[in-house]
Amino acid sequence: MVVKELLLTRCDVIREKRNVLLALLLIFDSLIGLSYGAGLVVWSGLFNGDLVWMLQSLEMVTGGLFLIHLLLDSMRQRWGWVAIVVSLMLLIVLILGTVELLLSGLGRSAMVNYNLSAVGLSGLYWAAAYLCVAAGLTLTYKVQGFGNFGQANTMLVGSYVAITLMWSDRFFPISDAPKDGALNWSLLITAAVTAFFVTGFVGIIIDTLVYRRFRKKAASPVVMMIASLGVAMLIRAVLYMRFSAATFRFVPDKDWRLASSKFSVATERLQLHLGERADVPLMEWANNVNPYAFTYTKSILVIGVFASVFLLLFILHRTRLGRRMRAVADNPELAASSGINVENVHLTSAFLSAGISGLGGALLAGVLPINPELGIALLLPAFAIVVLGTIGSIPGVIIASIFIGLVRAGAEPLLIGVGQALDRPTMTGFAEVMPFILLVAVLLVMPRGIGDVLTHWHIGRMRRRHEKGDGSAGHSLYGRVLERPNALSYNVLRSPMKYVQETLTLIINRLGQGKAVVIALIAPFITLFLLGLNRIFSFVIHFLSAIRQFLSINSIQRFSWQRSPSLTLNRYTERGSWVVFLILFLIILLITSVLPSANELTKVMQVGRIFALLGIFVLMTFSLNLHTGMTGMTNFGVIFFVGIGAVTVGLLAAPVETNGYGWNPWIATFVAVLISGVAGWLLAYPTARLRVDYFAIVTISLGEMLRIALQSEPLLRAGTVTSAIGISQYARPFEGWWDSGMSDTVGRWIGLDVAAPYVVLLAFMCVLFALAIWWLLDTVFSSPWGRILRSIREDQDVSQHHGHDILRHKAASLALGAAVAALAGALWAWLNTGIFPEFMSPVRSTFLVWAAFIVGGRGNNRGMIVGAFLIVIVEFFFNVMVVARGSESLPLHGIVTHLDSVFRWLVVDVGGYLWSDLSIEEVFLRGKVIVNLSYLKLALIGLVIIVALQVAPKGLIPEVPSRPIPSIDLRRRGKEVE
Amino acid sequence: MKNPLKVSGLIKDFSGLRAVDGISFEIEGGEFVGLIGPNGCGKSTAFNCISGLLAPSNGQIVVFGEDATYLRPDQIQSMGITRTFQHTRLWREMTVIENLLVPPRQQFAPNPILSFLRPRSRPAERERVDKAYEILDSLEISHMAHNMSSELSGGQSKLVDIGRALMGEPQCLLLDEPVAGVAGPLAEKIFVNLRNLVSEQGMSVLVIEHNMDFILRTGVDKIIVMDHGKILMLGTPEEVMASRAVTEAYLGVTEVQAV
Repeated sequence: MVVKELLLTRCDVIREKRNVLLALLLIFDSLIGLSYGAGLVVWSGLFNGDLVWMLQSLEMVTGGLFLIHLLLDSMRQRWGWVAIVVSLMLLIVLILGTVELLLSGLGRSAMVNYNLSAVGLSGLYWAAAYLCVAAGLTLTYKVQGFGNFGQANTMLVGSYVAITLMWSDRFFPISDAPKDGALNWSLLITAAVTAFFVTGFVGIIIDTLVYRRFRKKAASPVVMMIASLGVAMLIRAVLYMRFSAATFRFVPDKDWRLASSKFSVATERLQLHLGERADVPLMEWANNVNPYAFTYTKSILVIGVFASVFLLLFILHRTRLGRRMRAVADNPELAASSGINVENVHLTSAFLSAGISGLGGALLAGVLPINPELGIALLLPAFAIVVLGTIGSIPGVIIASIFIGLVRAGAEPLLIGVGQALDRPTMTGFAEVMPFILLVAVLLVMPRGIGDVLTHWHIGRMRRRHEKGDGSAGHSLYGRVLERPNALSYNVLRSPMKYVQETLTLIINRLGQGKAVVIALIAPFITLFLLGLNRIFSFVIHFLSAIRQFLSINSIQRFSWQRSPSLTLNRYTERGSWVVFLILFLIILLITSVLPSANELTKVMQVGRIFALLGIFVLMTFSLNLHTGMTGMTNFGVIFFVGIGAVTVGLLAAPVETNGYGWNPWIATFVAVLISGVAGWLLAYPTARLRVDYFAIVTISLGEMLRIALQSEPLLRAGTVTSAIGISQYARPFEGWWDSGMSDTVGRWIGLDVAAPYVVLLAFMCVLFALAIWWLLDTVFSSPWGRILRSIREDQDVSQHHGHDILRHKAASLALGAAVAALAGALWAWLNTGIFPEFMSPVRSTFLVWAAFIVGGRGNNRGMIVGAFLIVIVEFFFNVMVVARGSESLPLHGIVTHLDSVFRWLVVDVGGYLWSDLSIEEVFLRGKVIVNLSYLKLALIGLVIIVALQVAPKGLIPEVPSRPIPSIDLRRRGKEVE
Repeated sequence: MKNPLKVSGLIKDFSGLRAVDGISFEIEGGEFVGLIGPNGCGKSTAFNCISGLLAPSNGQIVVFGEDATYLRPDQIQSMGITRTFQHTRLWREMTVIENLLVPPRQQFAPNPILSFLRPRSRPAERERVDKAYEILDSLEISHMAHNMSSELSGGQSKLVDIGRALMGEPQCLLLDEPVAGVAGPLAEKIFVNLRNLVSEQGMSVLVIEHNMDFILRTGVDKIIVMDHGKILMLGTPEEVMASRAVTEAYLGVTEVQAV
């Protein structure tokens, strides 16, 4: 009774007091820890070495963030943006303060050099680099309402357009011209304009082929976001296949790269001395500072991107087109009924958003070396900017990009200084992830983003002004425009037309009349071709749906008490679902058995590896299914939890002499699963209230952070040499028992002359684990808890109003899924014998898991197994093809050579019209134009995601709705009444 | 016995706009109360504050004698108050019967582990299912029990929404326009059923309804009339009908429309 009383009287004030107390306790504990070597972390006796101060700093930052969050919450009603600025400053103070305490506690000192102009200008340049992605992202968010994960790859298309132009017969002499000191602008301008239009058209094509279909079906933004993931994978893979993984740079003219092509900017250098200070002040100005050199290419990037974004802003707010776009963004149906062609507006916005990114990409190629991997490195900071700058607001994005750029530029000197003091010179690697570390911190402090706070403050201000009787002032700016809309838009619209006309004349003059006519003649055919492509695509999709209907495994039957007499297979019943699963599973099993291999032993190894990977992928998809399929939290960070599992198992089981802990692998696995589960539980509290897309961004960012940490943190290294990156040489379970006789026995059982490889045992364990977890999760899904989780997926507010504490349920679901993923990570670590940062790359794992999830069918574990099996088989099929390329005697050799010849035809014969021979020679060394099969595989998987979402959005084996029937008593009673 | 719901001086500001301006009322056990008022007068906002969706700017909400201000929606529900939404929000990708099975309390009791391992065969689960079917029967939609709730029509959705609220065994039910979009005879039947629930089980019901005639015909015990965020009038149907202010603010409009 007392407990209940306590629970019920937990009103807001008490909760707030308790939270403040908790935050203060955390800060106090870490304070005594950092300064005097006391506190919980030390007393627990579990940790030693560098881990102690790391945990203490983490504790301090957590406590500080918590306190700032509470402060902002209580200030928000009244202080508006002042609160935001104050809390952002407090964030900086918190970080600097933690560093100061940490260093003085350790008795070390760090010197942080702030070259003011350098920080400012490179901040601006990073801002421009991020902004060209973020602006396109915002436009898509505003008009179409979803987060486009393909935006950064669209930008890369622009970069490659510029590079291809540089290699063209017409411009190569320019880019290769001698350094005569006179800057040549023609290539730069042509490249920027061409990149804008080409990327814009690519945007239109993608929109027509992919997103328009989803719009017509009124698909949810989450579905479109996942489809954009497929688009991103597809573009990235195509770029890889055409331009290889090598890095290229866009040189508009050799003179741009001269040492003299720089602005030299006067600067001052601020020196911060953190930590142990003998007799130096905290802050001082350094003397003899050389002026900072800002290259012309960087300044062109800054000017070009900011100018085009301001132009976009102008179009949005001062032209009729912009007004239409905003109308469509607000309410598509209403806009359509008031005479706006919604589809045209969508196409225009797709064109503009891709075009601006492409333009930025072309200019960026002059500054950064370009390779297809750059996409994700720019995408996540761009998302951070969009979220910080209020989703859908262009001015917000401009301000946020400058802020994020400055954070990135300002973090670098700090990381260098502190890294050196802590014996971690590689710490600068974290500068790359600084934008989303900041994003996560800000989202923890303000769960709904800065925009929400600002909007509330803004509305409040307008209302107050209105109440004072000063009604006109509030909307004077808009009012003036809206009063005379026609006059203004005519003016605006007429002058750009003139510009277009002039530009066209210019281009025609340049190209010469003949070529212009040729282009004008070809253009309609290209358009027709594109339209035809669309038709073909529609046809394929219709064809697939026709097959599906023919098999009639999709019809939902009316419910009846009796078992249905018809023989049609209904995937939406428990029985039908099982039958379809078994059929599909047997088909894939058959494919596995016929996969060619060199000899008996390699076949055993191949099958063993397939089943081991199958178990691992099944566990990962199970985890994703619990998070996304059941609870509705879009988790793009499966690899984060898998990574926690793999890294912990590897570190703990590695030998002591090489930086490991030398634990038993099973205990290490148990601890890894526990840590991951706790991490999932803790993650829920700050993130569960976020919007679905914020959650996706936060989880994918966490994965990237762990990857960077794996790259640069010495504590996360173990194995051959302590200094080598990665974890290896850890103990694996039953390895000794297996090698001492057991392997020979098993080898004899399965008919091998030699001992069976370890992978056989591992495959057995993986399948066993997968089966056990399958049983566990299926029971969970059919329990009342599964029902509650599904209701949270459908509408969490309503679930809460029906008495379920959604935060706790989400935390439990996250923790369970994270634990399952960590188990998969442990198994993966054993299979790979080494953990290196590349394995954390989301394209290699998270997106594959997503493909399996979508193809298989969300909400159904049987579907997960089929999806995972498909992905694994595709992987091995391509592996076999790679081997087959080498020798004519191997099977599949014919297919590979055929693929290569098609690719060659596409690149050399068809593509030859678009690009010069030089661009082919530069990429494919010694004229060997062959298709890179691993990227072909990724392109295929991207395509599968897109098509599967359209043809069978529920997957191969969809969720079986639960249909409990009443008890016999009740049914009998019902009959009596009748 | 303490009253199921007592609201005193409830205020809700939306950045300068006062949507609910200091309303106070009390609902007794077994009472059927109608809440009426023109569009935008703060009825739904008041509901949102009471049910914990919005934090009130000021005022106090007391449920069965205990302070429930600033509690989370699920805590308020567990104290015995369940609400429905004006725009019906069913869990669309779940069957109708499953929709009804989510709200019951004590789903994990008495043994949480056992409830995971043998969910279907547990007597408690069977009782829940039977109860859900009985409620569906009483609302005359048991033939739709195994359909996905996204396949229901608007009126059927409203019925399932009410059934779902009843599954949580509330002692006080807040219904936000429960019969908007439901065919006339059925709507009347729902109100009669609700009336019966009130008299049989001692449940209290607070219902938002636009149709004044309807409210009067179903024989509510008390009517609360809201206008501009304030309570204009609180009394028995006869008193409200007799009131000049109410006729001007609210009924006057309907009379014109009727003509």
